[in-house]
Amino acid sequence: MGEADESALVLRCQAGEARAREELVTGYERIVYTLAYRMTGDRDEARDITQAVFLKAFRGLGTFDPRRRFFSWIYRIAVNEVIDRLRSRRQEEALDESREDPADRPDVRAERREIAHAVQAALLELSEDDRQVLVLRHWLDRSLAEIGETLGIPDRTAKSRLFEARQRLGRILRRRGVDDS
Amino acid sequence: MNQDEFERLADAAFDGRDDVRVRERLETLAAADSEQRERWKDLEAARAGLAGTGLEPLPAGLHEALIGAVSMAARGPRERGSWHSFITAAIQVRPAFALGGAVAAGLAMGVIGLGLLMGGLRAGRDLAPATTASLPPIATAAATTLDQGGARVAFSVRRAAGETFVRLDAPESTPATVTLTWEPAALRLRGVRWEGPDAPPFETAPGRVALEFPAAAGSELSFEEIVSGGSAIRASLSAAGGNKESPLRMPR
Repeated sequence: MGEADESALVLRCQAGEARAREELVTGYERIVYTLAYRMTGDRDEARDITQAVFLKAFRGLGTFDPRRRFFSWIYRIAVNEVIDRLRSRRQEEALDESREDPADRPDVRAERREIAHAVQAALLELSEDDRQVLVLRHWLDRSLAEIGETLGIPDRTAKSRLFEARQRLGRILRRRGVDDS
Repeated sequence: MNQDEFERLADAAFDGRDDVRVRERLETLAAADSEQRERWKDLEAARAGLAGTGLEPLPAGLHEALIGAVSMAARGPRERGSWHSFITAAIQVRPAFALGGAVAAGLAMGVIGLGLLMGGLRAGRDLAPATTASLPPIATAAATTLDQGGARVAFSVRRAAGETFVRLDAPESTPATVTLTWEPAALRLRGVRWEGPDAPPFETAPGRVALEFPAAAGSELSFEEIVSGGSAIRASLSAAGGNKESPLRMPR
């Protein structure tokens, strides 16, 4: 969706047009869900986060300036929601150290033989910053300029962060037995 | 070692712009330096893992739940009706509730239809005892009351068919906040129903919900029991600068 089209769509939403709301949801629902899933590794949680993000976004839509990129705005809401949930999850895990490690379960071991699962597991080993830059580039298909704008960093910094994040991901994947062969 | 060149070529490889010349040059750079060779192996592993990534498909029902949720958010509180709001809020929390609702409605209609049919066939017979006998036992409720700074909230907990329901009543209109906490791995909040025309202000997080009183008086929360027996629920009442806490009594 072009920037001008997106601004017009947001204005129509702000005017209360139901059809525009549906278009905006359709345009962003997979983006938000993918971000939430890749950042948390939990599909149920990703579903809850996606709903919370759209509720917050539409409740605050009246204050959104349509000259800004809607992607950057909803992305920020989504990342904040993800980070809140991850922090709350860490606190719960700290309280319950006896919780079963899903990686020990035979069914999970079988699943992780697949590369896709290994990549997701490796992603969760990375820092939140590394995860964000990889998800933006490889799952949400954002350019370096868009990544820079979304994260509020210069393009060059985005480029070097991406390079380092890819390298760290690759190192974890090699350790897990996934390589290019 | 030309680090800039290495990074530029590696980027080209990630973006699918790695023709034979690019790959040969990368191999040459990697062969000349053991550190660079390791980095290239890492990047090759990442490239293999990241091939074919893209947007996830949406889970069934999520799109409809989102449309319902944003429509409600856009309409604002004035247009919300209590039962409609309950259903919509519940569906936002877990779209499977929509399916459950549809199944329950279908079953109810089936029972009514069957009753009418049987009533017609057995005209003149007293059906009341048979009908009463077919009803499930009434779920008993356990009550807990918290008092703090002039605010009083009565909690009534009942359980039925893998769900826990918590009703909150407040006879006074003293401003207060009620926070309920539970084990999120055992219990999941599914919906909030309120009595008035406006939704009470509430915030949720895994294992926690906070509601503002007096707006939330008469609300009922429903929880899905993820594990059999659900979880203990702890209530906290904050009012007039003080706080009172207690676990909620659960029905036997």
